[in-house]
Amino acid sequence: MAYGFSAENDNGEIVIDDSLPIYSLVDETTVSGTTSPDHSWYEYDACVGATPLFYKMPNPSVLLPGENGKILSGESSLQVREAQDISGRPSLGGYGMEIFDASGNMVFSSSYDMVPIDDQYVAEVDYDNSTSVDITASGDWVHLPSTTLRAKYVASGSTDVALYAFGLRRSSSTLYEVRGLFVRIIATGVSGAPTSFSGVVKVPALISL
Amino acid sequence: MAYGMEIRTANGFESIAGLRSAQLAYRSLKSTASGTDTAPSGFTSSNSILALEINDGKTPPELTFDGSDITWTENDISYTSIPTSTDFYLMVWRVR
Repeated sequence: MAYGFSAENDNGEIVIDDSLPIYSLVDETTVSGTTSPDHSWYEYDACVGATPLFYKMPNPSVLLPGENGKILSGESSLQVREAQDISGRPSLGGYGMEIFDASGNMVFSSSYDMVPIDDQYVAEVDYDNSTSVDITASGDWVHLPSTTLRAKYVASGSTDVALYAFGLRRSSSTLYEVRGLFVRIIATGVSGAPTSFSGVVKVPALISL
Repeated sequence: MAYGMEIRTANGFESIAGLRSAQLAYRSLKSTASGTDTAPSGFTSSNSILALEINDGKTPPELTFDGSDITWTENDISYTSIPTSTDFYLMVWRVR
């Protein structure tokens, strides 16, 4: 860079600079889920306004997208971290270090806790749900930043249509399994529909330490 | 620490050297079930990830991030009564 400020990690990746606001921690708490309409899952917010939510996934547990932009889990309560891009937070002044972009928006402040990211992941799994993809990650906190759902027949020859969501199952302290997970039956007595599926579903996940 | 820089994180003070952050690179309100957009220069699927903020409680669209081009398409879930969202923010977060 010709001028300005940039701090990189050991991989040469930008952690802080003077152009983009980082995500900072607003709150960490425990929330109770809302029972989904079919009582199979508990629903949780994925974002509240402009604040993405990272849920701490117990081992074992699952986290998957819902039909209404929310997140589904089998847990009745979860620990959650609420994050916010720091440009929307007030400058606290006093002492420490604050960095602003060229437009005067705050992009870093030493007064706020940064949300540390393990890594971003985009796993590709088969639509037919025959495979899963393992993610090795040590972080506990997961945000599913963009969600994917698919409908499929429960079994070849069946007339019941099931909704599958492609999300994460935590199977150990360092291992997440990405795969399609059954959400609910969304139609019955349907005939003439395909019984085989092909293609790849991309499942993004952001895991925080 | 002997040298370098530490900052406050949700887990306490940590060295920049071993950290990654999420940075908001792009945020745009969308009002159609399908469309295309272009990520800001320098942000690709290898260093950034797409995120959604659903405002209308409907089904998220499907997203693809091919190079710098972002495409969102109507989710083709059949038999469900919840249509694809037409009120959401599309975001790009830089991670790497």
